[in-house]
Amino acid sequence: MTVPDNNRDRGSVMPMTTVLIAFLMISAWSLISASQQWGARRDAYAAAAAAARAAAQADPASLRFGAIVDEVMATERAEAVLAAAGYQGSVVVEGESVTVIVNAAVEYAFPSPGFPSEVTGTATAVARRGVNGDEGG
Amino acid sequence: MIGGLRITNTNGDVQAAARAAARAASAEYSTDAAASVASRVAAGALADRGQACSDLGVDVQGDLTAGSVVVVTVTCTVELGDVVLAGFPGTTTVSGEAVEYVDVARGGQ
Repeated sequence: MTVPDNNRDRGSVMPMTTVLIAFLMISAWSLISASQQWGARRDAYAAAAAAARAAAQADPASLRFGAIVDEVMATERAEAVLAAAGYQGSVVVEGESVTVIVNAAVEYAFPSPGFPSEVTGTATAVARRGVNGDEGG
Repeated sequence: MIGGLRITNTNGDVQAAARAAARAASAEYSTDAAASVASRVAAGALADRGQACSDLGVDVQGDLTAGSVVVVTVTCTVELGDVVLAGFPGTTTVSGEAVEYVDVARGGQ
């Protein structure tokens, strides 16, 4: 007859606890880093959309000739919005459509290897008569 | 972990509120009206998203002449007392900023 070894599991809780804590910490790190990355992407897109909206409008003089977007003025307006928002980007004017592409650095709370250091937000606005317009990324 | 996620989530809502407030403010003709509508829109946007700020601040900068840029900053104090451990701060302040362009051609008042 053998005597049950009640001490057989002694010490086995500690590795499990360590693994669990490590798992939770890695989960928290990846969730927070991913959230910050998506936040930066969302903000870059929002800045691009605001800049595109600013650019895709006709000035009163050009309105007399239809909703014509002046490329130079449109680019200046978009860049003014981007500068005020603290971003830099490129502006592409094609007829009455303006596309703004913003590249933004991501500021992570923790070191985040494997996550992108920079994200891009792209938005297009189209000058139309009235209040209708397209906006998308 | 929950506190961190709450902060990042609130950050997104505050940014969205700032964007909505900036768009509303840029449609106004006076700074007083812009500040008033920006506060109202920001509070409504945060309420719609279920964010209860213990302290909400809305600041509008810039002028409202055609072709100007309006900058709206929204700050929201978030309660963390129910999710953080003792010894950590029970509140934190999250802020968001948005920029909007005042239309070149505007309708009359």
